[in-house]
Amino acid sequence: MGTLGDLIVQVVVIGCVYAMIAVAFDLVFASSRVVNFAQGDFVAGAGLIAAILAVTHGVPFGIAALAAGVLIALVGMVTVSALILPVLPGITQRSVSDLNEMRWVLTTIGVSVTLEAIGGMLTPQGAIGVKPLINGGVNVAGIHVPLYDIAIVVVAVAMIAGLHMLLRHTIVGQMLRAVAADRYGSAAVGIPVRRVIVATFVGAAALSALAGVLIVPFTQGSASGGFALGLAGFAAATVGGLGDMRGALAGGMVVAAAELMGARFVNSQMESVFPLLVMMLILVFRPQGIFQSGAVERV
Amino acid sequence: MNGSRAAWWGLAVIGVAVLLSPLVFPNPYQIRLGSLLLAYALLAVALDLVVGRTGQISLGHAAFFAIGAYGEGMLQAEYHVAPWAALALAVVMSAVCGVVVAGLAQRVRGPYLAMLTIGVGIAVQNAIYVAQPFTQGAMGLAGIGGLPLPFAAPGPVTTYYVGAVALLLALAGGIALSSTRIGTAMAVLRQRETLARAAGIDVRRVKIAAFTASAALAAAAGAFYGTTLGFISPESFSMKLSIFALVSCVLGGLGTPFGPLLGTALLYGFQQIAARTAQGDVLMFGVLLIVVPLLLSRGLAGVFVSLSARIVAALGLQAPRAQATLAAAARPGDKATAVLWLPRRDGERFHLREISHAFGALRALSGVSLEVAPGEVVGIVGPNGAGKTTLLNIASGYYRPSSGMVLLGVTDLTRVPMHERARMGVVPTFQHPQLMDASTVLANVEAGLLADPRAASAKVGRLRLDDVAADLGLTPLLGMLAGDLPYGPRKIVEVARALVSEPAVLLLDEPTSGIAPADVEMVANAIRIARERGVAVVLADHRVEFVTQVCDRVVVLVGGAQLAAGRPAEVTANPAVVEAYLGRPSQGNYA
Amino acid sequence: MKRARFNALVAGGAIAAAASSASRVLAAEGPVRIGVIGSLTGGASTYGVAEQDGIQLAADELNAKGGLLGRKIELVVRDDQADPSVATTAALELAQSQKVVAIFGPIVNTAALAVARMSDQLKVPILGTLGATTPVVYPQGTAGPPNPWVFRVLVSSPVQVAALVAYGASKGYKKWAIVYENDAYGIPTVNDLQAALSRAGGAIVAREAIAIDATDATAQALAVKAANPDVILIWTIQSPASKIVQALARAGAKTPIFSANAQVSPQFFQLAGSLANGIVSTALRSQYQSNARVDAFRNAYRSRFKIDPTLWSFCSYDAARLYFEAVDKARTDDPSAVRAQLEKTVYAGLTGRIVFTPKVHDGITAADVMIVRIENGKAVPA
Repeated sequence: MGTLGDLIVQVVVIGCVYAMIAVAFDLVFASSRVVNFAQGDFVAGAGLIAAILAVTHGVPFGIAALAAGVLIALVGMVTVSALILPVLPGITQRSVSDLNEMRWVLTTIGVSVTLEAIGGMLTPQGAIGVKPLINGGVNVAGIHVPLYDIAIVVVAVAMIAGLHMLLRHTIVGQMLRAVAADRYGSAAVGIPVRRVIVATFVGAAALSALAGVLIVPFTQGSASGGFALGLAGFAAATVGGLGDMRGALAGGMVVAAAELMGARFVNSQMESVFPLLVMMLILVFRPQGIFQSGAVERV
Repeated sequence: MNGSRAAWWGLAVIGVAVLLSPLVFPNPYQIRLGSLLLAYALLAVALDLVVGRTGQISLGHAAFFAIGAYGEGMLQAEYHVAPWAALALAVVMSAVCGVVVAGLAQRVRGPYLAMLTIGVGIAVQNAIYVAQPFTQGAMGLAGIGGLPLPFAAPGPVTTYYVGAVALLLALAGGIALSSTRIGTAMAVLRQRETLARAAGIDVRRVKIAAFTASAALAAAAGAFYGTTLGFISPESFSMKLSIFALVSCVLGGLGTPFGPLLGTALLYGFQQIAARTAQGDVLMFGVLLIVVPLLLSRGLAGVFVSLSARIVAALGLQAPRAQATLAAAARPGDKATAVLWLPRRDGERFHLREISHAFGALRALSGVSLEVAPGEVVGIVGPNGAGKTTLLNIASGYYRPSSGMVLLGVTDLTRVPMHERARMGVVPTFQHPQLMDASTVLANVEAGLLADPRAASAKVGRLRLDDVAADLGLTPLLGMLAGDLPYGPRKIVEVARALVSEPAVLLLDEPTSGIAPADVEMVANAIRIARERGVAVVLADHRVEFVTQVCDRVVVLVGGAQLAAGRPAEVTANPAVVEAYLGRPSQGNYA
Repeated sequence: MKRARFNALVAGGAIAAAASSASRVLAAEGPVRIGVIGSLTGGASTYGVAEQDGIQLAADELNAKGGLLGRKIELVVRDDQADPSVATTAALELAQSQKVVAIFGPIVNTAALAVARMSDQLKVPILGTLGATTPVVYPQGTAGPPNPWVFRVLVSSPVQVAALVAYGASKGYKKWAIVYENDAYGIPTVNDLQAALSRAGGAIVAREAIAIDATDATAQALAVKAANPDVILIWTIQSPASKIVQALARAGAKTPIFSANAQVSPQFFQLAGSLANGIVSTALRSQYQSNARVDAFRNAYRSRFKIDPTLWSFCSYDAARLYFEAVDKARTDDPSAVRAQLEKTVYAGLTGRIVFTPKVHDGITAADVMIVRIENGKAVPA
């Protein structure tokens, strides 16, 4: 029972991490219908930059984290402006040519691969360890819960709640919801759709960076884990409904549970496959997520 | 045709180079490099069948490569199956897996498909580790022997030639495919799936067939890879390999006959020559994936093709076919030859009976019925959101109605998918023209011919095409790229595409929206001609004058229900219709 | 017809090669070309770079003294990216295109295994820190004959495990848990542990695999904790090992930890921080000796490469030096002759006394190894 409790705590913590990454996917997808294959590398990249600055150059972690956030947001800005907007359909052309759709998939995969390569070049000696800012833990019903883990959960929930508030109660949020519902209609009523798309992309990058610096004490500053994180985050987003942030937390928990429970009780060798299995099942049998009703494709 | 000739000549040149290569580079190390290059090139060609020719993104083709390598390797090394039999079995295994994945993949598109295939790739690589009793897992599988030929003992050179022949055959197959009907179907569905379905192409089946063939070919490549190395281990079958194959295709040119080979040769060659690090490798892949689609839309092969097209144009060697149709009559109604129009289905009426449809909680249509006889034109009018497009989409088969029936004569079409309806003669056009922007107007209109089995002969097809193009004034535009056309002509091209298949029922969704008055007359004329030929026409439009002018009967839809129906004059005078939709003439104020 | 022409080319090549090798004995022309295949990038790079540096230092030192057989030593280096197919292609290129007379490396087990398996095609001595597992040197197990071309100078996994088990037995540890790397490096070690335990008495109560690039080791840590072992053996490289250690700490496990010598490295200390303290591992006795030779090596290494030499540096340096000595004694760099000479090696190296015989191709034995414990970023004798 003791270790099951440990496991559940870990599922919650990792589930929150995946939820944060899922929200980033949701934001980008909602405004532009783009899946950013490099999202996970934004997460890992931020952690890596923070680790390099803090550990190798002795910069205080807070400043290092901020710098990482700014850099990654910049990368997101460049990616969306130079690489994605040019291949998104214009406002007048409603349906996307199938060829065009493939281009941004290739592009974002290219960005992911490039970031990973650059990260590898920055760490010739391998991963960089980072100490968590908060140490110690509490004992809850015989289970040892590190304070840092609690901090992660708090930040994740706050982030998601904050975004929810933003969407519901601010003009920016309303614009985003409009663009998500009908891009062309929004353009017709004067909403600056391109700017909204850029803003969501950069915002998602910033959120990914936050997640990245938060988890770097566990993932270690390294570029190689990025894509796997992205996959898990995407799986979480898909379970909760891609583009719908309300399902992100639940999605994160489901994916984390599949991964950890699968590794613990089925086969630890196949740990990385369980989240993928969940994702593949959802993609094939219920692509709109477990919460939403059927999506409609309009011509 | 000219393109095809050039392709065969290209294949001949490549064939000579590949077959003579071991004489120029006889060192066993060089031969091995050559064999590995052949294996990777074959994988890229396989991948191109899926990504380049049918627009399905696969990031997990290393999985099929692995199934081939491990399948053949295990059967040969552990179960002592004869090498060629082992190869055949491995290929079959992979094809089965391909069918399964492709079947599942039909439910997802674009990025979801990419994710699905990523999952497949990782799952297969993991399975190799986990199935250690069979695959030797991380220790690697050794003792994979070569493929013997009857007149030569297995060895590096024999293996090389086996691979060379396989690659050349695959390339030849690709060139031949382009001139077949299924090859044309692939070219259409690659650019616009909806257009393909409207043109009678069973998109699902074509995609699954392509994926399965691709999986089989990738497995053959993998088996060849295994026999070249003699020893395989799971690290080699990672996502990096899938990405390498994809970058090769993109760099060389997706969907082109030699693009995958060219890209692979460049990438692999560069890798061997440059003293590179693992990161530099990966960085190069990433940069290429970003830069090439942005700058070179058809990869290096595209550059080559457009360069040679410029040379051809400069030398004045125009392709004869385009000239013939360009020279055809430019005035509407002025035809060079009289074309016999054979009605597809005699006297069958097209029924939409009690159609109701809901999108989740949103009720779009309630109990709408419609009937059209051959040679009749029925118009559907109503405010935005009334359900006009939904009704037409149900008529075409794009949606299946929540309740109600669609009938052609006595044939129940309700459950029949769009492409089959198109083949039976129920041909739609769409509110937003589904055109292949990267192809010519000619190619776009030609696509419509695929829907009519009677137009299989090129001669019949060309006659019809010239006829329809003349009717709609498209003759001078036939050589232009559809993507360069303004909105109005695009709509007319779509109408032409529908007409060229000589439909029994023609469904037109907003045919005149966004087009200039002169072109409206063109469309009206085309509809009249269709009606004369016994086509049953159903159209939805906003221009009341156009509808009154062209239609025999009008149905008014408001809020998903039928408000009125009858002859145009009756309906426009109906006070309820005026109230709900037409409005009274202005009283002079702007209240 | 093509075949006849090809055969003629091969025959001609063979004659030419024989002629040139005969002439090599007498002519003092051209450098002695030695191939090095290393994992210079990726997860195993710290080891691969250390291996290359050790060989480089040995070569430079000898070159400064006039070279080998009066000729300069030239290293031809290839990065195998820890991928066996790249390694085997590189090996073929080195042997057949670059015409090297010996190949050092690779260090990653699958790559080393793959290269060893094609030794009869390469026909050059394969030496160095070639992967720690048994099959690399003894393809049919330790009872069988060694691969005639392969000579290893490295603390092999069985040797490490035996030493650790003996130490554990002395502490009364009977229940062992092992968390191992999910590849050719970790998987054979489970067998090594099983074999050692059946001799010393004890049992494996938990065995958990972990991937090299795993994000998280919680599941493995919790499974191990649930089995309640006396000691936990970790057999993987630094990054995943540090994650396991962290996960165990987070789960509140207080069990002593033993590890592979891969953990005795600065990178692990940085990653695991204070959690590394108390971990028991093995090291070469000579790493802790202070005598003139070892100190000279350390200083030379430090001033040249700016970091301290690790286990792999020591081993590869010795491997290079003993190779040069064999060439010297054989008075030729002809691969077959040197191979025969290598089987008569008795070399007093930094790592200890290295003896090769026709039956023994593994240079480092249990006598050369000692138990150490990690304390504050250093490994001290336990």
